[in-house]
Amino acid sequence: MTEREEAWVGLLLGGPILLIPTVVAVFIAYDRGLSFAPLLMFTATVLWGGLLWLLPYIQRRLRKYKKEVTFDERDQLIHKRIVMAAYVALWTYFVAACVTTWCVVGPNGSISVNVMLLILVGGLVLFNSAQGLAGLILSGRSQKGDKE
Amino acid sequence: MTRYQKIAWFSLAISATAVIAGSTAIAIELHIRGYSTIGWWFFVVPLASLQLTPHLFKKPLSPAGVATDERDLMIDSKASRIALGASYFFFIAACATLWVSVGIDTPIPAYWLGRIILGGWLTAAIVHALTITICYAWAGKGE
Repeated sequence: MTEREEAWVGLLLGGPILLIPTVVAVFIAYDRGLSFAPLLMFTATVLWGGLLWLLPYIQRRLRKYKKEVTFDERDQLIHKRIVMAAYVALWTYFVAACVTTWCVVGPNGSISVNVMLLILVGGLVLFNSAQGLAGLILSGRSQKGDKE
Repeated sequence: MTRYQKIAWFSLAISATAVIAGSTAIAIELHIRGYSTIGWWFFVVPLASLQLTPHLFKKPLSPAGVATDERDLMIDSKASRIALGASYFFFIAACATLWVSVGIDTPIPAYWLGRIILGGWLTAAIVHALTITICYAWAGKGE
């Protein structure tokens, strides 16, 4: 799979793959009360979604004995930029979401604790979508450079 | 000591000051008034002063030298990624802890959102400085 194909897969499937288990976990928590199972499911999905960007490095280590280069220094550099762009987007989103909520309800207002979950899940989907989008843009630019 | 090492130690000192002063101020305020409003500024002001660090320690070690080189920039870039990742995990931990401790559908004060952002900011600052310090220590061992 090329870089662009991987970026498209991440952009289109990353959000739903992470949203579905978190929605299921929240549904179970509502239906049967908060217990270890939905909490573990939710936390594991959120952590996995946040660490998915380490996959190319893990693949590289596992394929070292095959002596095939699937993730070279240029890919590494592009990947670092992608992760940085996604983290910056995530931070901007968190600050904007929290400040907006605070402004809407007022400094002395109160919000449901579920708002925190919505902000977190939204941030997770944004993180992976931003990675996919940044991957498409940067891999597109690098391919243009190769053609020239 | 390179420029980024000095900045890292300076950031660690400011972050430690913020934690100690802020915690003390909040504890005193809670004891006196039962709630805290001013104490949180003892976190915010030192952290905001960290935005000045790019302008510090710009003088090169020698007249013919440079203030930063490619290795310094690489270490700073790695530290930034790790710091942002750490603050993301702080957000996860804070949201999950809130959900578990207060329960589903329970209302929480809106100003807790600002405190979560503050916690993420403090986490990012400390992890960034620690990572730079550790990277330079490892690099120094290799040399």
